[in-house]
Amino acid sequence: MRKQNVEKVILYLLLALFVIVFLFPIYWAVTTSFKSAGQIMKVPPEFFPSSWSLQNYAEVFTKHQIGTYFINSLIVSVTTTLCAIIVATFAGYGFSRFKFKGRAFWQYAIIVMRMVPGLVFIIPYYIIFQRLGILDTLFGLIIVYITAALPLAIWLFMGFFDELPTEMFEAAKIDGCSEFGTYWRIALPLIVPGIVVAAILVFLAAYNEFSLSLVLIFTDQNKTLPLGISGMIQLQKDTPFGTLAAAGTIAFIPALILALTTQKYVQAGITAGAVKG
Amino acid sequence: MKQETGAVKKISERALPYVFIGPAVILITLLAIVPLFYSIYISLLNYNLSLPNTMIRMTGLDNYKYMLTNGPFMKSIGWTMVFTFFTVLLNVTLGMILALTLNNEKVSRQTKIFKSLFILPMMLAPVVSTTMWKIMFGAIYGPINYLIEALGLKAVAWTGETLPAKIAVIIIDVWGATPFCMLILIAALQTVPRDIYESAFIDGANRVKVFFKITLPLIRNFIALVVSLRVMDALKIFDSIMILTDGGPGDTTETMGTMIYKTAFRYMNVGAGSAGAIIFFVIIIVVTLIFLKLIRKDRQ
Repeated sequence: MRKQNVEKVILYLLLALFVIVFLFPIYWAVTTSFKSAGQIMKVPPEFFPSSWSLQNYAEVFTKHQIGTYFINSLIVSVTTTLCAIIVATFAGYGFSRFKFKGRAFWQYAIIVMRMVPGLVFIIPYYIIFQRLGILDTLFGLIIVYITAALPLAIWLFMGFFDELPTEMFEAAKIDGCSEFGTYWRIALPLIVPGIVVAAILVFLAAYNEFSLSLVLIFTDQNKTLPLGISGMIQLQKDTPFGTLAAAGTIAFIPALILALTTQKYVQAGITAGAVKG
Repeated sequence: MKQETGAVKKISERALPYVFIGPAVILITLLAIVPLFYSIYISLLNYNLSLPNTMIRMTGLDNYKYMLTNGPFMKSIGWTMVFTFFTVLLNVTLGMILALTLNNEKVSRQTKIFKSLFILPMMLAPVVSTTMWKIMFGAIYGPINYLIEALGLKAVAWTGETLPAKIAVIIIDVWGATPFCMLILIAALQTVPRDIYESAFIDGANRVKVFFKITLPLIRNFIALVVSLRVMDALKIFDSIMILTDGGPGDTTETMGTMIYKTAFRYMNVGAGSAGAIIFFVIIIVVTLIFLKLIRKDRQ
């Protein structure tokens, strides 16, 4: 009995240590965002703020355009998610349901494209987009993000559609359902949990992306959150910790909401994305 | 299917799959396949964004020669490899400890809560998590240096000196990606039936022995998967370097990614940048093939 209890104490101590390691940086950024400049520059640091101020938030909204970045980020990630899911469920259904010429080639091409690092694309994107006049536009960024999301999403949806019984599709056909009707009214509703999983993965990838936006966007008005925050660091050499913390906290909110409301899907998604993809 | 409806229906039926995969195929062709080949083409040109387009000429493999004899680029490849090795090693070890802890039946009732707390770091944008750590690593007012000084040691200039900067970059990546390893390894541990453990314990084996002799061999494919996914990802490290050190001090924390970016967009040499990107891609393919081979060997 006693040995059992000792083990339990050790396990919980280990977990407590991990909780501190994983959550303290987030806690520190959030509390720093509510501190005044004087409180931030203090030795020893205030582990719990002695007073709370909204000054850093006022500053990121007035001096920096954090509101604009936030809205741009939402527009880009929501549009990317919607379009990528529509295109990928279509393709996943096509690959799963039909045998046709070129099927193996395109499946192979999709796997290979997943392996190409984004850095290989940024230079041609920059040159091509400049010629097409879509450099520094949200449209350009969105089509790039949709394409980047497709390989994994198609692969996931192929798996989900493959699991549906073939008899169901045959029955639908006998009942006179068109192929599009079968896709829309029968197959899609059955894979809704899978759609949620894929949508979360696509949303997070677009919301968090930095390197492509760094090359494709340069005016403040079109910047997304990661790009905007990185700009705040380079702008001021005296590392404005308070405003950075406030910007980081604002950017963190959607991730937190997603983590708390859809944690089951998030965990399933990450596991499925890795194992199936 | 009705045969008599004739050729019209047959054509539309044959076209049907392409209607479904069409949008995806068009996007992937225009925004992945074409740019990939265009990138290879650019890597053969002396293309510089700051020079007029009329000066662009074919230069064969000059850009590749330039990149492969370029000291800072070669140095960045070395550091990227070292970074990947340590990050992935720590990732998988810590992820395994976490997964084993959460898989223990004594805490399994709380597993769900801890899991959702632990996955927060991996949901953050690397730019955001690095920003958070930048505040933590603050030289004078940062809590990490406060802790170090409280232990009686000397404060560290985290971004001002080479070794501390490298350690800081590794810490940030380990923090952000360990939860991912934890999730996959928890899924892996759940594939091992519990009665295998029970019979091993009855036979008198201890925990450490059971882990290395029974659990590890059973989940080796999952481990190979986690390691290969993490290696691919770690080789691409870019965001946290740009935010925390911008490659500094000097060029000591430049990675393959930041070097390619800077060659192309700070020095405007997109030809050499593309050559660097293709070299980068080849390295990733080689590493992937090595891992695939290792996984296959494991299975035999």
